[in-house]
Amino acid sequence: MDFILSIFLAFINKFLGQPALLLGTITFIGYMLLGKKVYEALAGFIKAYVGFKILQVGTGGLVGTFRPIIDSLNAKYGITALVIDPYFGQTSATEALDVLGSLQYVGYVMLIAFALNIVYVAFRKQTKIRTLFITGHIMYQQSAVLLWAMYWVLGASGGNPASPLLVIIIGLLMGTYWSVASNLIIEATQEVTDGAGFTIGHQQMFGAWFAYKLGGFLGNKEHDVNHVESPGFLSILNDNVVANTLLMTLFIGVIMIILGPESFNYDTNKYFFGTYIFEQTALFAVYITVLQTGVRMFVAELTASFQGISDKLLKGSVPAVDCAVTFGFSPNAPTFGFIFGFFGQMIAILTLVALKSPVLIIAGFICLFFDNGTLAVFANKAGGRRAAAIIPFISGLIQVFGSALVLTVLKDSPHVVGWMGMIDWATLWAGSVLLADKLGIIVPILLIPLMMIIPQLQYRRHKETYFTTMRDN
Amino acid sequence: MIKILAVCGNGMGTSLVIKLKVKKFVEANNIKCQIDSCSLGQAKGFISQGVDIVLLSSQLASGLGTVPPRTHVLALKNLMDDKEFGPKILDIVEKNYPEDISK
Repeated sequence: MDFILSIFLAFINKFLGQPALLLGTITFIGYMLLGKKVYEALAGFIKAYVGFKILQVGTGGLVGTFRPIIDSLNAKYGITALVIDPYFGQTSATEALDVLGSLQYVGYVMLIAFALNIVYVAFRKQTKIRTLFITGHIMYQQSAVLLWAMYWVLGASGGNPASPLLVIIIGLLMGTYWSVASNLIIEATQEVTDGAGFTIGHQQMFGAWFAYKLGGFLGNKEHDVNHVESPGFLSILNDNVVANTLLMTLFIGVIMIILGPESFNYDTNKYFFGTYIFEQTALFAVYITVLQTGVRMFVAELTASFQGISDKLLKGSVPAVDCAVTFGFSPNAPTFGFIFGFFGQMIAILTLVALKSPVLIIAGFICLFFDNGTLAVFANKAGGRRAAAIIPFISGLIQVFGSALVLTVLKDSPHVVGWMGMIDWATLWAGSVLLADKLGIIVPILLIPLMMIIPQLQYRRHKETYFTTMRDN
Repeated sequence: MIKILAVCGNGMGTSLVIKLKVKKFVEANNIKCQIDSCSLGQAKGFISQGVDIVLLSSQLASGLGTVPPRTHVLALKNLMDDKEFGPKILDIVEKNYPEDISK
């Protein structure tokens, strides 16, 4: 008996405890359940495994490039500078969880959350949930970040791996957020997209809902942002490689200049200080591209099997997809959101500097473009260009201040480089993590039933048409 | 075989959604093709290696610059709607690559 048990435990540790093997196995099982051929499922396993390993090269590279700069800034001025961008949040989460022997639990959180979302939709008569979250890269990212943040404030400093109970609670909480938030934004998304039949499954559903509700008070929707000519040079920011490099050169470059050439170990025969700075800051774009290549590889496999499962099990559920799918319906709004969000973030960052805050925030591309861009799309629909300017500006302020606050409790986590920064993560999740830090595990537990009240309230407002937004496709 | 490329700003979520939608459509219409997805920043590299159809959001279309004559660019409003991109893809395939539709 002991013999069998020890084999079983070894299997759990050396197989299911290895994140890359676990994700590969999930993909393999998903494909087999969908009735694919064994060799197709095997290819899926390999691509998920290799993709995960590529992802780790990217996160390792980001940490290796950025940590020395953070450390020398900290040593010299006692300030911790961190980036608000989902890939930096994800990197912080996975690197810390890896050190603490808990990285494999991210896969379990994601699976529990996805399964709970399916259950909610299956019992939609009771739960009033109509949406299924299928945005694979976001699901992985959020599972990692929420697990890391909650685990860190709930006593990871003891050095023990995350407990199964915590993993289950975080999984249930994550699944509830996906379901409730993407369900909340259905009606507004239908308005924005002229009834395209999908909803948002991303990082700013609560934010976009507020943007849509408040937008009407801030401006006139007849003054649509798409009637404005936007300057052509801004289109280079649509290119993620260019935008990442420019932003990092701007922010990290300034920090490196303040630290001075003597803080860095580089070959003066090979570099001017300026070209050395540019090489270092361009490396951010390099590692983000590597990281994304890895995520894309394993997420493409996961998403295909998630979507297959949802098509089979839940006909007519509304798919929750990436926020940028709305951009085609309002092509100018994302640029508007970017510009005004950037102003907001800059003012907030300068305020942090003036207040001598122990945490300094560095603006990231995804947060600026995709988050504030989405808010601008929703605000514009309700309140035109004025709303599309004011709301991203305010959001920019909140993104920086909210993230700086939550990072005060996360900044000592190993290898930390940043936080998500997206609006729901600078408000709801930043607040929950801070509360959990004070009050303990009761906070994530209580959040689950509290969030489930929201779809009930939505249902009361339009009972007759509530389920008609679901369609067969 | 026709090569189709789905493009979005960051190459992570939206382009994958387009790819899955297009895949469903071409399979239903018996079109033989290879579909890839990437970010706008990587798209030029793909296109220079030979792509027949590029699908992307109308908001990003100007960022693609000039493309070789072989490449058809479909700038879409609703990326999730095969009624928008479907007829356009069928039209391009029927005109240029009729051999890739198996009856």
